[in-house]
Amino acid sequence: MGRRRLDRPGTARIAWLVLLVLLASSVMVQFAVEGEAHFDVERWPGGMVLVGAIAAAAVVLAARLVGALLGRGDDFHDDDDR
Amino acid sequence: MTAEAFAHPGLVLIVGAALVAALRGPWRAALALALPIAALALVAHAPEGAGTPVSFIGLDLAPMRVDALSRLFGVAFAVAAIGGVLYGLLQPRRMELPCALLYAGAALGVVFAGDLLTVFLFWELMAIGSTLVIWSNGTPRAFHASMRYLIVHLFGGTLLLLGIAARYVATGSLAFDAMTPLDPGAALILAAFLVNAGAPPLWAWVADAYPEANATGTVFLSAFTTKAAVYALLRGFPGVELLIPVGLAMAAYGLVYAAREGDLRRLLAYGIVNQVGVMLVGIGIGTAMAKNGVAAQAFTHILYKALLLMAAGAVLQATGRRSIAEVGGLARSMPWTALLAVVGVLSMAAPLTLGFVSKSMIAQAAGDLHRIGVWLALAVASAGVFVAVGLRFVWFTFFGPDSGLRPPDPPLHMRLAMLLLALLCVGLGVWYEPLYRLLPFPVDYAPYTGTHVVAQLQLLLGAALVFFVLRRFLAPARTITLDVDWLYRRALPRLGVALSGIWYAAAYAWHSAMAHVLDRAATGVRRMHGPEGLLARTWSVRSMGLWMLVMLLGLLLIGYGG
Repeated sequence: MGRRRLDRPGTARIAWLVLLVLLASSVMVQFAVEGEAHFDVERWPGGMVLVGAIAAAAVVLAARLVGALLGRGDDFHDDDDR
Repeated sequence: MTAEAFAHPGLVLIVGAALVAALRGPWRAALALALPIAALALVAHAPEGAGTPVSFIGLDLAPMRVDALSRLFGVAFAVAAIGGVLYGLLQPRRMELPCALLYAGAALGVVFAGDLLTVFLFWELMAIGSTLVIWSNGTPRAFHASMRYLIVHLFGGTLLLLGIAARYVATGSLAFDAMTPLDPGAALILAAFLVNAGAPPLWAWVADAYPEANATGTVFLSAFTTKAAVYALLRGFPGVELLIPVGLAMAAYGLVYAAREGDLRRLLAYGIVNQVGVMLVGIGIGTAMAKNGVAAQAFTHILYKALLLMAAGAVLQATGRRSIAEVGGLARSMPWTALLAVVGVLSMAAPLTLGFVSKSMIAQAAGDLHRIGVWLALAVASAGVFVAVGLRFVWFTFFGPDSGLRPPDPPLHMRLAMLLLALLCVGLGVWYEPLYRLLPFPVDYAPYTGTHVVAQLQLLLGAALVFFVLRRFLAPARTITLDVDWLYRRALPRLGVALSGIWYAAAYAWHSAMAHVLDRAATGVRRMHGPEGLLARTWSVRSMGLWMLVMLLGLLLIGYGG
């Protein structure tokens, strides 16, 4: 089981750096662009980053909760199908 | 009529499917590929209008009504069929491609149906074709899944037929136009369309059935049934508010279940439910902008989901493994598949792809009406599906922890099919005017404004950040998540077994009790009338005389007493 290039610590650091630079750039560019926005959250600096992050975190949390309640082994229905 | 039948793209595929089934070798492949291309040409050039009516059991039917909405879905279905046939061109199962062509033809039949009875006929043909596509995989799991799938869809078909009959009795019309679900007929038709859309409570069939077809079959399945339902809802029930909460429930369900799923294609199937939910929200909003957005999003989703399922099918075919936990790091040996899968994931919502220019119209429609709750829910759905379906799929399959597997990219025809869809996803994302020209209403929307591009990038980057921070919590495991199908796969059968046990026990007790009663009665009869019984004895003359005296006295008493 060798490590994939993308999973090496050095590559991962670069990936993190790229992601953070893109995030920071998108926030800075936000001040320069003009256009119609429907709601205040679109006007807040990095507002949509927050929405995206909260959405993703909520999905992870909800999946954990649902998994704890309703998760079963993948052979759960094998007997039912006989 | 015969000439017009040959001009109906759906009938061309259905009749052609029988020919494909009869042929072998290169002729079979050539015809299978030529049929959907011919269907696309027919869709593109069909004149707008209600078409020539056809009389059937005394009813006037309109099997070929063409307008902007039906043409858009027709183009999407024909393109999906071209991609699917190219992808599965050399697969060895003899009946799968003909069944898939039958299925695609039936879906086109639904799209061009101008009356509800024609919708029903093609709706049922679609159910049969798709069941046969699942069945073609030839495994016991596929057989069981196809039977469950068929039962759900026959139930939906029954609702549809009842609804059509009730509506015809109430209104005297079979026209397939916008309805309000206030009369029983329209309500039943709405329920039938929702069954095919994968709406609650019968939403489990999508993730149950789709992964059980083989690689090619799943590509076809993803394109037609749920999107035909979206088309039918968009035509029949635009602006019905009920569809907004139903769609949001589907979007949430798809996200949460996808985030836990370990099966490659079931993960993508949950993504279908999520995205169809988003489309239902748009149909519920019902403005021209929303309807354009739904139509564009359906077109987009057909293409990028087929692309992702092609990539998943390539992995399945190359490794023989369906669990994401068993693959990983495949980008090293399947670079083309990985690259095209990444394009498919970006096409969900990223700028310069189809997802960006289509999905944003539904959010715009919610924003135009100042419905911040719906707008935020759509943003969450967009970010959530990017993480729970898109990033999970590509990261854990092609990058991430290395499984050590080194399968090659799929054969050329499969790569070409994926490339075709990827080019459409990117090409129409950049040069979106051809898509917008196909939309049912004039488009007054510019997707590439600075605010919009930045907002969407921020949304996806924020979600991606959280994915990489929390990805160990999203790692695939060999588990399933209990769903509504637990009721009809486990609870009801076991309840049936328990009830039949009680029934047999009660029947045994009843039979035992009756046998006991009859036995006692027989004993009593035997005691009285048997050889030694009371009534079988020889009585003496003295005794008989005494009894006659007693009876005569009794008669005298009765006579005088009366």
